[in-house]
Amino acid sequence: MAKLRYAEALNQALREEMERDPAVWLLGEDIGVYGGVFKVTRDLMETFGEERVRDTPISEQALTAMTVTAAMTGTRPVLEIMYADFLPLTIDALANQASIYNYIWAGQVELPFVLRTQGGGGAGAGAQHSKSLDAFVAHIPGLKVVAPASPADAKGLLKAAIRDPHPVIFLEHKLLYNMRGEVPDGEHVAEIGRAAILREGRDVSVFATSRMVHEALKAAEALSAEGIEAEIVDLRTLRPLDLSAIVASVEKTNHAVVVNEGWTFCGYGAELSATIMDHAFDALDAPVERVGTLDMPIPYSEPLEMAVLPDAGRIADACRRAVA
Amino acid sequence: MARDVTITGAGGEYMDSVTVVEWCAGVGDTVRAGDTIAVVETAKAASDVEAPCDGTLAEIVADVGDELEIGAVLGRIDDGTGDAEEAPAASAAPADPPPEAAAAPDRRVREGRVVASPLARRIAAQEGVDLTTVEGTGPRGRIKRRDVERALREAPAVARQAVPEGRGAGRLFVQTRQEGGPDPVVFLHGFAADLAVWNGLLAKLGPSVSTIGVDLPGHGRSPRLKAMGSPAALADAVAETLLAEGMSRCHIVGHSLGGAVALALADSGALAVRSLTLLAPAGLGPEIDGAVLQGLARATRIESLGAWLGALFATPASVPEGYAQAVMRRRGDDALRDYQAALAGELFPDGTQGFDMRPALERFAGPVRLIWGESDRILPIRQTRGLAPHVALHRVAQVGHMPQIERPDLVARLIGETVRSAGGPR
Amino acid sequence: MRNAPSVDDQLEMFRKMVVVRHMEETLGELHKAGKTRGPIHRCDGQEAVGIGATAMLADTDYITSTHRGHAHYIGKGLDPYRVVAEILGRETGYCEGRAGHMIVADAARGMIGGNAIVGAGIPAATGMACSIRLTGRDAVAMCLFGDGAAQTGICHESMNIASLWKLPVIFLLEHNQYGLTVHSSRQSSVEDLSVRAEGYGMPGVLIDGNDAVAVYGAVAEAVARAKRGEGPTLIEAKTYRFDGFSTSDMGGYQPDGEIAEWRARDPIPRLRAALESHVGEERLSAVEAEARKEVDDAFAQALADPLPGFAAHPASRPYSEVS
Repeated sequence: MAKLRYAEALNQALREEMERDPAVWLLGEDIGVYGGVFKVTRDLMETFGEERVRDTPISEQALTAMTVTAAMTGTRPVLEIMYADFLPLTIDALANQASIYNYIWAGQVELPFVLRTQGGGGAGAGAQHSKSLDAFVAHIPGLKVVAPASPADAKGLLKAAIRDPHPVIFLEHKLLYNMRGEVPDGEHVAEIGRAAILREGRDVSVFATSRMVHEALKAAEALSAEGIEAEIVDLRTLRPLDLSAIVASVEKTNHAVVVNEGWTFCGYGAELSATIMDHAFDALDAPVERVGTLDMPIPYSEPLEMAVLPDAGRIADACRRAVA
Repeated sequence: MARDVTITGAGGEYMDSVTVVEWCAGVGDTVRAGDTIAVVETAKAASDVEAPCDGTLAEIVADVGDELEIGAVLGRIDDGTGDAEEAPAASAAPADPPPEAAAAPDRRVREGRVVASPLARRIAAQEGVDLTTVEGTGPRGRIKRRDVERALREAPAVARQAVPEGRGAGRLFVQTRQEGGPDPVVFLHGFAADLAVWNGLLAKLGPSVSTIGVDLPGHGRSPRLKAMGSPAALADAVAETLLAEGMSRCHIVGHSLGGAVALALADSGALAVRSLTLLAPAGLGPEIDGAVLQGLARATRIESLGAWLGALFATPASVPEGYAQAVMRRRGDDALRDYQAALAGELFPDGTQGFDMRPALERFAGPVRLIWGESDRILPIRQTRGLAPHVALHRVAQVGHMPQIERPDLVARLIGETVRSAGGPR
Repeated sequence: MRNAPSVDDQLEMFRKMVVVRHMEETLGELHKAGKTRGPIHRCDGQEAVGIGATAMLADTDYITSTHRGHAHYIGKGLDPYRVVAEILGRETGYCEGRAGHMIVADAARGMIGGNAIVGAGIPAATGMACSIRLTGRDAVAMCLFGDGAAQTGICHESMNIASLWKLPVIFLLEHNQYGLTVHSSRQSSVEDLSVRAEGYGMPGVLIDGNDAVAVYGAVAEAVARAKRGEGPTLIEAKTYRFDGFSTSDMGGYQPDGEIAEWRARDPIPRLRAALESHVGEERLSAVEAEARKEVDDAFAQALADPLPGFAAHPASRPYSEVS
């Protein structure tokens, strides 16, 4: 085991996969010489050269489409989209190209590409650089969507994503890059599609993604002092969902709270809520509670931004409402 | 009765608090409605406080100089009408119904629909808890799991409550679901059962049917009335209860002994019975498995009860999961078991049906349908031979003595058809 | 590979053009008879571009196409029968009926693929060229696109990157004068789009798209350039579509006589005339008849083929376990 920062864990994953498979290459804005604005790709150009680590012009639309077809024709590209707020520029390539080809062309092609991006608020980056558009990509059938919440998962899931024959959207979080955590030594490849129970509890199941997992853990501490034991489940993969883990937890606690940093209305939490209703309705002793960013643009000034984003306090309130 | 004198936002003036400046009447003084009895002051001006009614100033709560918020009580006036809050509704009745029954009327009137979480419903259905009798402590009065579990814990205490006896004087315990339909359908259970046996079936009847389940004397939560040893006596007790509920016309669904009671009730003319749906009714032949009846009545342990319950169904494997436990929970009372064993002895002497309901069946003028399981081991289906031709008979394969549990969809459908075939209200 | 097609090459190009034309005309008849599904974008009159441009490519070269790609499909070596079966939604189509006429693909022949999103083929071919370059293959990617697509943002982004990275991609612009119902003079700030090539640091070539031999020559040169590692070329081939933007076209937006004028420059009789002295009338008629028969047989077979049965797509499922 080594204690690594989340960004370092990602860097290791990329380095290992590029060493292992010469078909893996990287492209994105500022990833080469500069090593990436969050330093995830530092030193990789030095090791692997300019053909395999490419600094690109500002052309998200074409670059995403190019990544798709490069993946179709013998290489395994990993594209970095600097901010999740730029995902709308990539949506044609994802919804009209990447996600359809394996099905529309009856399995003639595989598309092993990874689109890495980071989102989330709390850094004062403003309305156009703070969003979590998880729901935009999770909505599209044919894509896998992954969101690691720890350095171990960052490394394990990125390696898994690169090896996956299907398109994977890899959602990082700007406030997690500096998080430190234990990362297993050796060939550490995680399983896409498996959730993890980070804290067991008998009273309420909290299903969270990305940075919200940590807010949920904080909420659990506060709730414990009140005699409410929350079970914290880190989904890790947003699509495909680990349905059996979700159902088992709700059957155990009879209460569910879903937390995602995207907007609440039509958000990712709304789908989780519907899934829980579909598969565990009769286990519910209360409606599913959703915690998300308030349905408005994310403002800049600190008190405004903090009021809009979900946090441990709102998660704890939701848990209290559920068990009331 | 003491009437409060309160500070309101008098005269449309915005006030947040007032100070008492003066009392114009003393304790014991007679006052008339509209008299100024006190003066209060706000930041702006002084206001008079008037007596809300005629009476005597009984109490001064706020003294001169006290500061009060809007809505606070200044004093009290005795209006001379005496206390209204004493004496419960059942004042002179010798039968003292258990608290659940007294509380039930409020819920019946208030709710067309029980609000309960999916989990609470699941547990209630499994355990045979009637949700209309459960108090919800969740948000907005929602019934949650803890409320159902509390009801389960408290139920035996209810059954053990002293229930006085008396012929005809006791109101039977009933449970109404009031949704649509002018003539309700009355459900009469069989021996050693109670109205909870209909729960699964009622859920399938649809919103246009209003229903009333009755616990027969000495069953469920009804009092242990004396001299109930015939279907006619039981029918009288049921009729008296229904009439007291304000009913004059109804349809009846009766199972086993309840079927015989239904026939007796229709025959008595006490109410206008518009149709009968009878599930393996007693009284059509001499044979009855008296051993099962006594075994059921006397069982004190889940193991013995379970064994006897198995005989009620087509096969022991048809007994629903949790059924024995649910039944056991409702039979936790020695007095109830003794009563029922004695009743069985009177109704079914020597393991034989001591009454003949065929004439009543033949006399019934409305639509009548029999539903009988071909694998019924308590009342054999051959008892249906030679029935009057206007009686419809539905023979159901692979069903025992409990068609309302073994084939609830079918039974619900047939009840609907019978009720509708009686035509609209007259 | 030569920069000029041999007589045999030309005869094969002629044959394929006849196949395409007959396919389009038959589709038109079927559409009128109500036997097709959804709008179909015929390429009558543009055959020389698609056939000429693909004639020198190998299966290991890639092309991306548009919504009007039947000539591209046939030129790249796809079987007319399986193309027609796909257009008719049959199980025996290249994509088992899932794609339809605009998004056909045959990965074995490097045709990946048609695209109904205008302009999407441009970055698509550019991305394929990335893989070719990275793996050091002796191959090219070619994108056939229209004058409408030339205005999209992704066209500009792709051409900039292709030139910057010297990718082995050929941008072949089939200029058929119209983007849907609007003439290109109302869509483009310049008349000849190949002038933009200079802005992207690549050569721009302007040719007569109805001259199959000229198309062949220009593309062959661009392919050679790409394989030498010198980067992309933009080739603008002027042509015209005789039959409207799709089977939904209600007409009325093309000036009188314009269609007739372009029909007079129909690429098929043109090539036929050029070949006559080399090959002879009898041979040409035989080739024509054989081509038409191949298409007739393809339609007959396809129309008799079964429709596909539905099956869920595992990679699209929302749950990691089947519920």
